[in-house]
Amino acid sequence: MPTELDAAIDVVAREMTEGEPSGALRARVLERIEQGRRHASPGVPRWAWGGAAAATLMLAVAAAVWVVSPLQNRDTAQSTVAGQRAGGPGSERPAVQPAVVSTQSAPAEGMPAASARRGRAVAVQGVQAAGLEGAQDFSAVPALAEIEPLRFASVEPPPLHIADVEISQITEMPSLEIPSLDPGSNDIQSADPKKEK
Amino acid sequence: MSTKGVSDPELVERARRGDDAAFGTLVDRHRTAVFRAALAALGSREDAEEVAQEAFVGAFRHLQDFREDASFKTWLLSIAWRKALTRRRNVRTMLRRFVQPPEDTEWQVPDAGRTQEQSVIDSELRGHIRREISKLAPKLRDALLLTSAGEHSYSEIAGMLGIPVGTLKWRVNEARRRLKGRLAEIGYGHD
Repeated sequence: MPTELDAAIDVVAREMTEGEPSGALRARVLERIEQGRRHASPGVPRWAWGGAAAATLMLAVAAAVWVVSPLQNRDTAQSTVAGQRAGGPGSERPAVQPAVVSTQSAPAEGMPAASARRGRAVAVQGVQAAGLEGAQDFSAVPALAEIEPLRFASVEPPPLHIADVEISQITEMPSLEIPSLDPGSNDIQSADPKKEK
Repeated sequence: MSTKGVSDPELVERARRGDDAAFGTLVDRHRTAVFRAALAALGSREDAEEVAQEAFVGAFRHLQDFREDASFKTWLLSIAWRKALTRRRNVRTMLRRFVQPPEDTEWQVPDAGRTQEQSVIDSELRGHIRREISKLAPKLRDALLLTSAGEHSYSEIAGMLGIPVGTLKWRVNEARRRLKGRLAEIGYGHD
């Protein structure tokens, strides 16, 4: 009977693992492989896409900050100047004039007169061009002297009020009598009662 | 290019170079072995089919990692076995949580196509044996079923399970001994 049982166990165990996969297994495997290829870009690992996306986002944020912040500064400056010109405290102050470059500068030593004249003409043209550019600049950016100086008075704390302290007269205290604590003296606390007996 | 009669290492090399037909031949060549190994672990034909598919796709993706220390079949079977064990753990967890213990689940066995030898065995005895095999400890049951499937050699199964061949043989013998003991308790094998 044991040999029959062994045979029966073999048969049942074989039954439990018997069977064939469906004929479409090969097609399904190859299709999934193809799908995987379509999803993955050739030559570019997946992590690179994440990095590129992060870099693009950072660039976009940086560009937005760069574009917006000069506009805000210009708007603030123009509104400040407009407020001052409308009767603000700094409206009577004289505007700062652009620095004037002297066109009568002496020619350098050893330089011929013709070339010195040409140099002066070029300098005059440069100054005129600079004057035009300066005018445009001043229309956009306020002069430093026109900006209202900061006032810190409002930040000052209120003065302290401390009530006067009254000190009463010190009355005379009665003097205390302290027995002598010299060695060999009759100290009550250190005295041994047994020795005394 | 024809792939008939081409060795597994050659097909692997072609598949690495992007030849899908070569990998298709490998699928055809080992599909039954992979499917039966998964079936031995899971007991469900649908699950075994899915695991077989996942194993082949996974093998293709990691084809560059395949070292030719072992045969392609052993490497492929170990991938399939790991995937089957993962699924078995998940299924068992779900069953414990929601339905019933796994030992009560019936093993899916096809009724059609039984040989004369199979029909000789008493259907009642067959039912007892199947139930007792299902109740065996997983390590013993896996060893018994994989060796009985007839698709794998002892060394392939040992490689798949990651154990020495001697340990595998001991597990098979121990599974048989326990089964016969249980069957004797219910009236088979003695008198």
